[in-house]
Amino acid sequence: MELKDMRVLVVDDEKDFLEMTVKRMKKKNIECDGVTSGYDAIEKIKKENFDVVLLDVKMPGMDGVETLKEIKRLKPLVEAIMLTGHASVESGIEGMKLGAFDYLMKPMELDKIIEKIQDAYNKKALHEEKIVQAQIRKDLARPF
Amino acid sequence: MQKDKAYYSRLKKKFSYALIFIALVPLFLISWSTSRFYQNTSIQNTTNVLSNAVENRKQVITFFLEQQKERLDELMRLYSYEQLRDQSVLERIFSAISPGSFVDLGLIDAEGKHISYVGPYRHQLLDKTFEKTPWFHEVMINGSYTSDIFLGFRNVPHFIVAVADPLRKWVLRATINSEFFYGLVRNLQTGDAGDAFIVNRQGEFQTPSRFGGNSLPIEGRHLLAHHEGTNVRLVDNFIYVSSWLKGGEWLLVIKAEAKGAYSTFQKARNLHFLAFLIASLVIITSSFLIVRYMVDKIEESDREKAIFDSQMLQVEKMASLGIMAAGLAHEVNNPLQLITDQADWIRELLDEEDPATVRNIDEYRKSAEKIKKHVSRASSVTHRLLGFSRKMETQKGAVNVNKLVEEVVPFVTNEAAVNEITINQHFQEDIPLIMTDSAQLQQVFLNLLKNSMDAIGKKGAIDITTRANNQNVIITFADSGPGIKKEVMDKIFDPFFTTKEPGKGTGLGLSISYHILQTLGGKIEVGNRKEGGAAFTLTLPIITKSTPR
Repeated sequence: MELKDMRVLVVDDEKDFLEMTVKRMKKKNIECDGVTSGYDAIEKIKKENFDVVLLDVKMPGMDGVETLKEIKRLKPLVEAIMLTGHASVESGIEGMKLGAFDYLMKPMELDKIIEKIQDAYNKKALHEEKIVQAQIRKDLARPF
Repeated sequence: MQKDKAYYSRLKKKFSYALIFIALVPLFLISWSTSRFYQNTSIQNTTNVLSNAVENRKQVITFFLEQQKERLDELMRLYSYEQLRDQSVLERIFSAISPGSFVDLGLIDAEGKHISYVGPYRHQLLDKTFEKTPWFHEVMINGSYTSDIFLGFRNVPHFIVAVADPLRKWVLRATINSEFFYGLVRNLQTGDAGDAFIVNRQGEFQTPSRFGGNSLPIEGRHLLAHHEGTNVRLVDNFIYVSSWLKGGEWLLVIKAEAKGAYSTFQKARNLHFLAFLIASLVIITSSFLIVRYMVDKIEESDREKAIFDSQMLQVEKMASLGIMAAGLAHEVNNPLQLITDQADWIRELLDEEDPATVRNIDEYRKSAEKIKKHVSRASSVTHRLLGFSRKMETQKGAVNVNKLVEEVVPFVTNEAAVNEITINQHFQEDIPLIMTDSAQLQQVFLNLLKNSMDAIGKKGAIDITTRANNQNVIITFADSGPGIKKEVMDKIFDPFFTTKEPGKGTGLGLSISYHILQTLGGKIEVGNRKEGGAAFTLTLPIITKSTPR
C-alpha cells in the first residue's frame, strides 16, 4: 500500500491546527487538503475523492458527528478518524457506531495521527480490494 | 452554620421561661381570684352569723323587757290599790311570782311615796320619796318606764320597770335582776377578743364589757351613731355588729375578731397555697424536662442537618467542579495540540538545516524537546481532569472486590518493595459480588495505594480490608503514615489540593476517586486511625442487577 496514493481531508475549525497539519502531511508526501467546517467538507467530498477524513468532533455549526453521518451517506467507503479535545467515551462510541474508524484525543503527535490514518487507509484499501475481487468473481460467474 | 453549646443553653432558658410563664400566669390568676372569692364569702358568712345573732338577741331582750312590763300590768289589772297597799298582800303576790327576774316590788303613790315594798332593800327604800327622780316623772307622763342601769339609793347596779295606773294615781315598780339580764348578752361573747354588750345613748355600759370601765372608750364611740336595723362595721380587724333596741335607747353590740372569722378561710387559703406551690413545682420541673428533651432533639437534628449539608455541599462542589474541569480540559487541549504541532514542525525544519550555518541548532532542538515534554505534562493533567466527565453506564459488570484488589496490588509491589512497605490484605472470603465498573474502581484503588505509599514514604505497612454488611461492601485502605491533619481533612477531596511537593502530584487523585465513587452510587470517607495513619473507607452498594440510570 503506497501512502502517496492516499488522499486525506482534514476538517477542523482551528485554522492554525488545520494549516500546520496539512503543511506537515504534505511535507511527508501525503496528499492532503483541509477545510474549516462540516459544510465545506461535504462539498469537497461531493466533488473530489478522499480516502481518509480526519474529523474534529466539536465544531460550530455542523459538528463532527453530523458531518460523519453525511459523509458515510455520500461515500460509505471513506474512512473517518474522529479527533476530540474532549475524551468523552460516548462521543467516541457514537462516532464508532456511525462507522468511524477510530477516535483520537488531543493533544496528539502528528506521527501517531498519521499512523492511524495509515491503518484506516489500509482497511479501506482492503475493503475496496475485496469489492473488486467480488466484482471479478461476479463478472467471471456471469455467463458470456 | 455551626451552633455552639451556649446557643442551645440560651434556647433552653428562653423556652423554659416562656413555658413556665405561660403555665403559671393563669394558675396564679385562678388562685388569686378564688382566694379573693373565699375571703369575701368567709367574711360575708361571719357577718351574716353575727347579724342573725344580734337580730335574734335583740328580739329576746325586747321580749324580756316587754314581759317584765306585762307582769306589772297584769298585777295592776288583777289587784286594786287598796289591796296592794297592804304589805301582806304584796308579800303574798311577790312570793307567788318569785323566784323570777324581779328582785323587789314596790307600790308608790302619786306623790312618789313608797306605800308598800317587798324586797331586800326595805330599809333603804321605804320612806323614800321618788317625786323628784326622773324615772318617776317619766312614768307619770308615759304610764310605763324601763330605766337604764343605775346605782340608785341602794348603791347596787340595777334597773327598774315601772307602770302607772291609767289615772296616774299610783305606780307599781319592780327591780330587775341584772345578773339574769347580763346572761342574755354575755353568752354572745365569742373567742378571746370577742365582746358583746349593751350601751345606752350616752355610751354607758348597760352590761359588762371587755372594754372595762363604766362607759364606752373614745375609740368605740363611733358605734353610737344612729342607724336603722342591723349595722356591720369593720374597724381595725374587728367586726362590729350592732342594733338599736328599746326604742333607740340601748344599743346591742357584738364585737368579733375579723381574724377569727377568717380562720376557716385561712385554712382554705393555706391548702390553696400548698396546691399552688405543688402545681408550680410540677410545671417548672416538667417545663425544664420537656424543654431539655426538645432542645436536645433540635441540637441532634441540627447536627445531622449540618453533616448532611456539608455532604451535599461536597457533592455539589464536586459536580460543578467536574463540569468546569471537563470544559477547561477541552479548551486547553486544543492549544496544547497546536503547541506540540509547532514544536514538531520546528524540529522537522531544523533537521533540514545545515548545522554549520545555524549556530545554535542544538539549543533550538533542545528547546523544541522541552516544549514537547511540558506539553505532555500539561496534557497528562487535562486527561485526568476529563475523568470527571466520564459516564460509565455501559461498563458495569459483576465484580468481586477481593479479586479486583489482588489485580491492582501487583502494579505497586515493586515500588512498595523498594520503599520497604508491606501490603497486607484482609479479605472476607465470601464477599458478595457487586455490579460496578471494575476499571474505574481499579483506578480508585490505585490512587489510594499510591497516596498511602506517598504518605508513608519509607518503611511501613498498608492494610487493605474488605468486608460486607447487608447493603454494602466496605473496603478500607489504612496506612501507617503520619495521618491527615485536621485542617486538611475538609479539603482533601478538592481538585488540585495536594500536600505533595510541586510537580509530584496533580491533586486530582482523591478528587477523581471521590467523583468515581459518587458515580458508582457509593461513597468514600476519610479518617485517622487511633493507632496512627490515615484510613480511607470505600462503601459500595450491593446491587445484584445493573439498574439503568
